[in-house]
Amino acid sequence: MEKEIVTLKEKLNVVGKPKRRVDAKEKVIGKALYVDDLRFPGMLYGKVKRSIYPRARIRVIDTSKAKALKGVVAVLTAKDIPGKNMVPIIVEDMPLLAEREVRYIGEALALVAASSKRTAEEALKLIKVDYEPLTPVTSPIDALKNTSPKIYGENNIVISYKLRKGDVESGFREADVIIEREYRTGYQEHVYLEPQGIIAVPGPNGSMVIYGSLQCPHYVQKAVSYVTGIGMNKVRVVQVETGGGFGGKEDVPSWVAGYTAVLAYRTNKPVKLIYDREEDILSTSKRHPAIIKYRTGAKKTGELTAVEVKYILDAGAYATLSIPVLWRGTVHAVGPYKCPNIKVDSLAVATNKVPCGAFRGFGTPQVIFAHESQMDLLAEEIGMDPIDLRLKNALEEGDQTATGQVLRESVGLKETIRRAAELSNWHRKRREYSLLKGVKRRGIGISTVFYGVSLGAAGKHLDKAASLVHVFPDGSVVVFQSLTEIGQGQRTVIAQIASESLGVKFEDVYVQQADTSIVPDSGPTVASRGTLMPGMAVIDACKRIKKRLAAVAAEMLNTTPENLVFENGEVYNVYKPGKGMLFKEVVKEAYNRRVNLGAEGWFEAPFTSFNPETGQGEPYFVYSYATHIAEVEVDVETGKVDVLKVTAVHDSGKIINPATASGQVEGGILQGLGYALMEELQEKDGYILNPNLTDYLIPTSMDAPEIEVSFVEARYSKGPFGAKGIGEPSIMPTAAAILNAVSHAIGVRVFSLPATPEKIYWTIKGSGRYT
Amino acid sequence: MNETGNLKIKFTLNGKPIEYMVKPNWTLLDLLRKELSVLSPKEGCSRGDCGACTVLLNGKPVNSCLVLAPQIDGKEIVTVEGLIEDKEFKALKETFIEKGAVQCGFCTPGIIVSAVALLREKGNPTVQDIEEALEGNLCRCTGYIRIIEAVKQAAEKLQKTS
Amino acid sequence: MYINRVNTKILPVEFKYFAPKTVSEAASILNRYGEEVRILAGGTDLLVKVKQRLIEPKYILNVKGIEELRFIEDRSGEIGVGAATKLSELVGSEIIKEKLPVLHEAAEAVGSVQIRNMGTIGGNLCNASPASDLAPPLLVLNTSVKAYSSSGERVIPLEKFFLGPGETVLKPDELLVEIKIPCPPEGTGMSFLKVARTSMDLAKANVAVAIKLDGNTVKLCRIAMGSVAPTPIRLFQTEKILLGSEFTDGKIERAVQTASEEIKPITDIRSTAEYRREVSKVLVRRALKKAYERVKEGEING
Repeated sequence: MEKEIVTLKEKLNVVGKPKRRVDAKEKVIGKALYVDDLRFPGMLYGKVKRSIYPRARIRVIDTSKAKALKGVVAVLTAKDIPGKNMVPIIVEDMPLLAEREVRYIGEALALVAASSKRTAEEALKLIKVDYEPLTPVTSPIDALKNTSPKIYGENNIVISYKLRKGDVESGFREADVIIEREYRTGYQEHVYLEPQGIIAVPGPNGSMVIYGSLQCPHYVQKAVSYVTGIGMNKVRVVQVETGGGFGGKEDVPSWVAGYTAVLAYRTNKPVKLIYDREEDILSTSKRHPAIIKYRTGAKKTGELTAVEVKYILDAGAYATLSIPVLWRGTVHAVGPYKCPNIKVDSLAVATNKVPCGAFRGFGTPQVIFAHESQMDLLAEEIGMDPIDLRLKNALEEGDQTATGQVLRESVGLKETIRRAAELSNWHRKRREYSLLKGVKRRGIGISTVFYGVSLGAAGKHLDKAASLVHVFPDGSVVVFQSLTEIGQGQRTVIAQIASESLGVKFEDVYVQQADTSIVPDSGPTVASRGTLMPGMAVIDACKRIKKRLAAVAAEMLNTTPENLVFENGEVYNVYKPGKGMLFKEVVKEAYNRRVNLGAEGWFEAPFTSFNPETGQGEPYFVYSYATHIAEVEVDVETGKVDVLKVTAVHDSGKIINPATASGQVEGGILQGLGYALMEELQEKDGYILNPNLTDYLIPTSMDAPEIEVSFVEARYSKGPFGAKGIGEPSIMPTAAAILNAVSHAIGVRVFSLPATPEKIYWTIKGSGRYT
Repeated sequence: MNETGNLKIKFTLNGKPIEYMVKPNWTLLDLLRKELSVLSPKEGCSRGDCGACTVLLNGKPVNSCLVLAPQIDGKEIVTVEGLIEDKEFKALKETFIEKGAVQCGFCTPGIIVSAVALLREKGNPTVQDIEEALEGNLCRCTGYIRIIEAVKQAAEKLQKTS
Repeated sequence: MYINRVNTKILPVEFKYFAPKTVSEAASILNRYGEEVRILAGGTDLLVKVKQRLIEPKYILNVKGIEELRFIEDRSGEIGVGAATKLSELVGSEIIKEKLPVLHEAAEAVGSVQIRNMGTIGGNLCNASPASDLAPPLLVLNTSVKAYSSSGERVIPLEKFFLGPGETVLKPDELLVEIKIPCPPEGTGMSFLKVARTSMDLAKANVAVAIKLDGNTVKLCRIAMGSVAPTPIRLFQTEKILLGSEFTDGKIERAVQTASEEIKPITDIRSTAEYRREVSKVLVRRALKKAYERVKEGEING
């Protein structure tokens, strides 16, 4: 009998179903309101005066003419900042407004608030800055030279990490084959369709409300409090509909809100600040360019014996999120493979360029490109199929990762590889494509990854989540939580989790957007933690309420609480199905009996650890896994690549909503395709030459390949219904899979991203194969 | 034109006749969003690359960020707000919601406008037709797959009912 | 310097706006204000430049409302196109599709649906972008354009029309009113090809070819390219290689080589000069072969 009950209770009604997005209708009918759609009485428009030099001393900023312009209400410089002139991110190195020196083109110098955007724009032109230009450092290689000007600390190194396991030298001695190559990757710009934007509204008693397009309300709250000096208790951050983030609205809104809040504070008026696209591309964070030196040793039977990696990130002028980005990259540098001997050294180096920060994948797509290229080179060298080589080394339950972590559960990696191979007809196509001749060549390539879900040991103190759930007398439910909907479907997934946990209809659950005044700090909406962390907190709150309701229902149904099933808006005795009551009847009774129908939920991330000396430990509490297989056609005379199909198999644990999860994967793949082939931010001496969408190209509808998505659901016991995370694994393998396919097609390999037609053309040419 | 260069224009917006005094250097997007509070067209790039500001001008999709307000004198402008009762829109609304063709939603109104124009022109568009029709509407979230499927399905639905 | 060119979402300058209904009205405005006027014939390029303050016009003259500038006429032996004809009207025109399919293909290759609904043929030409997709096919069609001013009108061969990036021979008081496209002789095969990073992108290089054969002897050969010189150009040297000789692979290769020497590509944000030179060879070769195939198809069908 006991077993039967368990089975019944595990039957899921809402979780695992492709429920319609709760926000889709509003968005389709054009009623969803984004920050630029909001207006407040007396609102002013903000603008930011920015540096035109990559590195210069500031002699004088003369704001007198700007201040005199009709319609200008405030022109502020560093000395007008009421609180600290510092954006609190991880280390405190970045001023809100540059005071003595500018360190990159686009750095903020002064702020304007005016009665119209046009006037604010005019005022910017009237602010005169007297600079003394200094020699900029614009390449990380130059920055590391002894002769380089010191632009950051004593040695221009923002942060470094190391990872040591076994003995690489003996590992390489044991190897039959050693592959050693250098890889380079460029910037990637987020191109969230909605540029950055914030409105700050001063309120009574010196309080301030921030409405914004943002991922991390609690970061913004802290930053606004810092720069205005207002206590955190009086700073309320409300996230409004956000037009995409991808990491680009993780830390940046902290300073956009900082500018806006300072203007609102000084003018005592609501202030709106919306970035132009060019301003956004010039001055906000991007994916770090990287240099990766990779050395892999293996037996001729395929087993890895040693991996040595040197990983250098171009951090830009300030640390922002380079520290955790580099850490994640370091932990993931070896890929999802067993290897006894590992040495990874990584550095984030300062340059006089726009600071790089968070971008979907967070320091991993760069090293994945390297380790997956290495795996293919190795396969070629020893004459093994790339799939077989990966299967031979892939992690499974009980194996140790590069950091010595023993994987105890939820390792669906090998199944992702096998299924991707099967769905894509790998073996047949690999053979057939190899035989193609002529101008259009085809190739098929694979890439396999793992991804530590949530913040891990480096962000331990932030890795928690809260929720607040209220059940109303009509049986409807509201859920507050503090992670954000940025397009990924987070509110829909949370509604499903709440609905399943309480046994109410999906339609009866309403999930509010994040508001710092309602829910305790739940950390950022990053690191693919938007389902797992708040999901667990929501389950916790629902359990508390359900327990109270069960006591009432048991009495009403003349049974004990253990025998009750809450399902689909009904409550019944498991032994007497069909003779239950409506959920709302139980709620009504409980309400009349003065039962508390609200509860707070809480979840702390499971154990993680990391030894800074050796890099050993359990950096993340669980990992997601993914394999992408890409098929391409290359025009060998022009170097142009068409991606024909991507097969994506993901293990993200239990999939709460297959439709939104597939949507994540499809979007990640297109973003990865752009990263692989076309997205090239051109920079010269610190200037970004193509800060617009005419010249920085992202994939259009014409570039979308066929995509087949499949899920391996290796459940995680500490995740909500067994879920892990999907947001970032979606993009991580794509570029490497495409590049491996290109190299299969043309017989030579491109070692840097993006692989533009031109780069591919010259690579082919250099190979002598077609000339 | 008066001495300040401002112009009084007449046009129809979502079927409603409007007379409005405009400045020559307002874009159509400025006029719609700031003056008339028609908020479904979004400003994503301000130079005709992203398509988030797409509206119908005499039935044809244009980037409203690159049209001067005075240019619409005597013309018909339609935004998503004016399409609510339209049969192509209704079909698209259903399939976009069903297919999950919406993520962050910022590009959605522009895409819907382009798709309505396509369905009015071609009752039975091929995937290629749809891809070409949406080429000027960037989406960074979805990978386009679901959008293309949703438009295709909406076309099929309309074919069945007509 | 780049930072000061940013797009500010707004049109930061004040200007007066004219929307004349007739060509003569437009001409008198041009006559009166000369260089201070900018003609809006689409806006897809002009307004972006104004937003970036690259130009600061005092007057904007919208010619899109001039009905007499919007036509596509089949006059035996010549197609006349009004300068304010939209690119989408070119794409949709049965006359163009049937008589000048190469122009149809090129017009389809410009930008997006939205851009084609705004942009006009006259705007595209007067913008004088080296990367114009319309210019190469119009050049191989031996197009000429008609300019009108208060003091009269003149017809200019398109070959002589472009002076450099953004520069044409039009005088400040002149308005482009008509594009005159002679129909190619019966049996001419034509092709248009473009290499770009995405379909939305401006060309890294583009090419148009028109050839006619007598047997296998080349009787007519015109080749034009874009994005490989300061203006769209005819490749006269290359044409000479083929003209009057047999259409053979050997000749094609000589033509391809000559083309790569005849062009003067530069390195810019889209491409390096070296790659443009290389890819131009591929484009010319493919366009010649495609045009040849069309000649042959025409022979079979015709």
